[in-house]
Amino acid sequence: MDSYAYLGLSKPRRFLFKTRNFFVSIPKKTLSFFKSIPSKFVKIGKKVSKPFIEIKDALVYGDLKTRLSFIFMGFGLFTRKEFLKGILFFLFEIIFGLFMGFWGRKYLSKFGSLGTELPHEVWDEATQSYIYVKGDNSLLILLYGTVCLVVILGFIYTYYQNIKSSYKLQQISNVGGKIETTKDVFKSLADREYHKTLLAIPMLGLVTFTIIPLIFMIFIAFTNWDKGHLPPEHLFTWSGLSNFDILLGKNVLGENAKFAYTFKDALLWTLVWAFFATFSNYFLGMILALVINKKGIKFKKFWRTILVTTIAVPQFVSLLLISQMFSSGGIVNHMLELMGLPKLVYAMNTVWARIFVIIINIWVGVPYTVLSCTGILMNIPNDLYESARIDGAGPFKMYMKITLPYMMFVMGPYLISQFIGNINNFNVIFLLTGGVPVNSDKLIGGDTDLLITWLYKLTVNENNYKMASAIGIVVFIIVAVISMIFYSKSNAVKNEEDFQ
Amino acid sequence: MKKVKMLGVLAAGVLTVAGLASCGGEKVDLTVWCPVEHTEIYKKFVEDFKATDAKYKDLNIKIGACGEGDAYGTLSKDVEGGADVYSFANDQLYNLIKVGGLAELGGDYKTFVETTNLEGMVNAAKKGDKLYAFPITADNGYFLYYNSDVVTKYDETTSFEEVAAQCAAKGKKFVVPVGDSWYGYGIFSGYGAKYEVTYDDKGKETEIKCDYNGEKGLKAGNFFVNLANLEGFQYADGGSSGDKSVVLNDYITAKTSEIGAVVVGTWKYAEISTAWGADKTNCTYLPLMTKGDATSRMRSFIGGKMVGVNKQSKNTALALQFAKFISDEAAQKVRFEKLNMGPSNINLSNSADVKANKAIAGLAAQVAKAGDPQINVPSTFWTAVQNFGAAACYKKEITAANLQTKLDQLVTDITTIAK
Repeated sequence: MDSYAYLGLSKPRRFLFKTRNFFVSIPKKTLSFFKSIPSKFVKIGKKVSKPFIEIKDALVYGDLKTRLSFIFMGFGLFTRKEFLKGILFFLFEIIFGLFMGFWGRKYLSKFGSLGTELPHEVWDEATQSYIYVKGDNSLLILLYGTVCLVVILGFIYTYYQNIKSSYKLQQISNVGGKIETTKDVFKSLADREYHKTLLAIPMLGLVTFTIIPLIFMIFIAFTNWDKGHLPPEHLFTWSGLSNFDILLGKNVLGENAKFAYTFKDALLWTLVWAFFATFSNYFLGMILALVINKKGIKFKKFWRTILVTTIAVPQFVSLLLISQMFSSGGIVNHMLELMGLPKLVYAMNTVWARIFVIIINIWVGVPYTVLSCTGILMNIPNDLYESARIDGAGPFKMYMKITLPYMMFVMGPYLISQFIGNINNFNVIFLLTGGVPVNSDKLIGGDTDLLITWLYKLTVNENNYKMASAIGIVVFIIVAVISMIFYSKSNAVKNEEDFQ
Repeated sequence: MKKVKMLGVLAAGVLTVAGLASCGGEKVDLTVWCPVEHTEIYKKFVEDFKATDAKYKDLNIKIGACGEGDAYGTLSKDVEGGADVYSFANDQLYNLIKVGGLAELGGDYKTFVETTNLEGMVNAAKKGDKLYAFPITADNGYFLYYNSDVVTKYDETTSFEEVAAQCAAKGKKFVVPVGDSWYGYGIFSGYGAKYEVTYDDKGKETEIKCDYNGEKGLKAGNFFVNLANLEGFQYADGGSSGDKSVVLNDYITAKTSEIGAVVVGTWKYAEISTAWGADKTNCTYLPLMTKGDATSRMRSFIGGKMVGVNKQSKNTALALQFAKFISDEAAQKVRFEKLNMGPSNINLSNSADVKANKAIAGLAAQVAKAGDPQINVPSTFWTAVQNFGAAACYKKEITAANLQTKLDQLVTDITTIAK
């Protein structure tokens, strides 16, 4: 069917046609996906095997100098007059050897068990005291072991570079090519390879302060580090996937059943909360901005100023105040009582508590949306509205066909980031309700606890680091998947050029 | 261009160095933690301690702030970075031992503690027969405060119901912190319901038994349910319900004049007697829970504050000396006089001054009738019982009909040991 025939169809028929097409194309798409798998593997395989092939070549075709580089790093470079690089490679090898021999070895050797020796005491008659003899510290072993692993990875990469460049240099000098002198190296670092010079320190910082801690945190999810296994007095060890089994409800013994239930409920509530918190704020904020922007509304600046003033009060102050106002002895409930109405106490009633946090979130969040919407609304070309009016469109139609698409186009990514931000919205929940109402079917968490506030309670109050880490990983996966799907589907990405 | 490039490298370098720069430290011989409001007294302790011996003259002893209720929370995060000497409330003893935060006391120190302190407090500082801390007070317990203008009739036969009725008649509240498990214990124990914990040699719980869902527990459960609906009763807790206006200590501070009677400990004496007038403030034993049943008096946990030496201390010998110095008779006398803390020292607790103190006398009256040393409490107890109290008297979810189920759940929660 060509596009003319398609346009000739009525609306329901178009829909049917599209639906049919979708299902018809499934086998084809699946097939092409599976067909593409082998070639993908070949691609990956080529990439992975490249270094090995290079090393093999160096071993087979290399001369003595290159081969000696396998033992003494930088030997090939040094003897072929690339002194600086050669010395640096060799120095690196020595430092690495010393580092692993004197420091890394003792942590890395225990990395598999995370320690076996418990601390103990010895009585000392002279001071009338028990002298404390330290045992293994699982935490330090895990941390320093992680550092060692990263250092080893760095060494492997440098080792590969050493062989690669030795062999390359051998080939260059065989044909009498130009050898880089020390001066050349410095020159290129200030010129052709300036990016390396500039990025070296930040990269080092990134690895030390971000990547290593991140790997360390991920490792924790696979251990049993909790309040029963707190170092230095106790040891913890690897526990495989058991923490994830607990989260997913595969381990239903005793406390763990509660844990799985709490996780499931908190996850569901987190998503519901994120949805309502994001869209209620967005649409109410937009409507408010439209109203203020409307012709004929007086004191526009005054209204906007009022909204901005609410932002000037730190959010946590407002939240704590509101929380007090709505407590059972607070002013709101006192007034309800005086009027003979039933009290609304968020600590008692789950449904009310959940509605309460969403409403208060609107209250503290709407001014921000109003401000960002106002700017964009003022930017929509007026002629669009004029021509729509001439064509006889009403206000609702204009909103649906002009305002909303325009807003969504500009603010789509903003909405996604708001949604993600709300999944991890610690402040509002923690300061407003602290997670209550208490639910005795749950472990530590209450009914308004988001995953993130529950995670806070697990670590700060309960020292349950293993589960907190596992939850952190799951939250990351959820957030990553949601944001990738919505971001790639959003108009802002798909039709990037449309509004430019 | 070259200059700009060099500048770039320099900037990156400076940032890194600035990030890595760590502060150098002075040499500290001993770190001591005390509640922030005791800092001045501890400064005096340090001065006096340095004066006791020429070799202590140049010691650098640092004082940091950490509440007695927060010691475990803080030390469990980083026990090696914790203070060498610190004070804590006795309910944290087992947990502190578990994280390696308490050095065992032996030899002369053990003799010193055992011979100078009340037996109950010595036992509270022990796990098995090993001693872990220097007791400094014996005032951690609760009893009844009542305003004699409101509660005009009070004696050994008075029940909770009667106190509440007298309060309600005068438009006042009878505050019972049933949502706090420390107090909730007294209700179960008052009816004779019990728990029992067995430990392995490392101090880990191996088995917990609890009969809170038995006949005696059922009586206690019924008391919770009835109390919730009693006119004049005011619920309070330590934060378990999440309602900020019913936190016991804050509630008393904010609404002292609306209270006719309250179950709380010595630390609220100053506030309450100021608001009510010292002559109208009465401190005495707790009422009966079942009218006419003399065996049903609400019991109190008996404990106190202690000073412990961190097992991870680099200077254990000195830490022990200092801990002994701030827990002996003279130091406890200072605490009693300046901070109104009831002493655990035998001589001091028998002195006329201490006996004349109304709040401490009130606690003594309760202990004489119904007091239990706070030892071997299951670690699961606190959360489970506070949730039960909040569910019964705050949310009022528990009725006579579902009481047995809820008690069964409570027992499951208490007896389940985390793996």
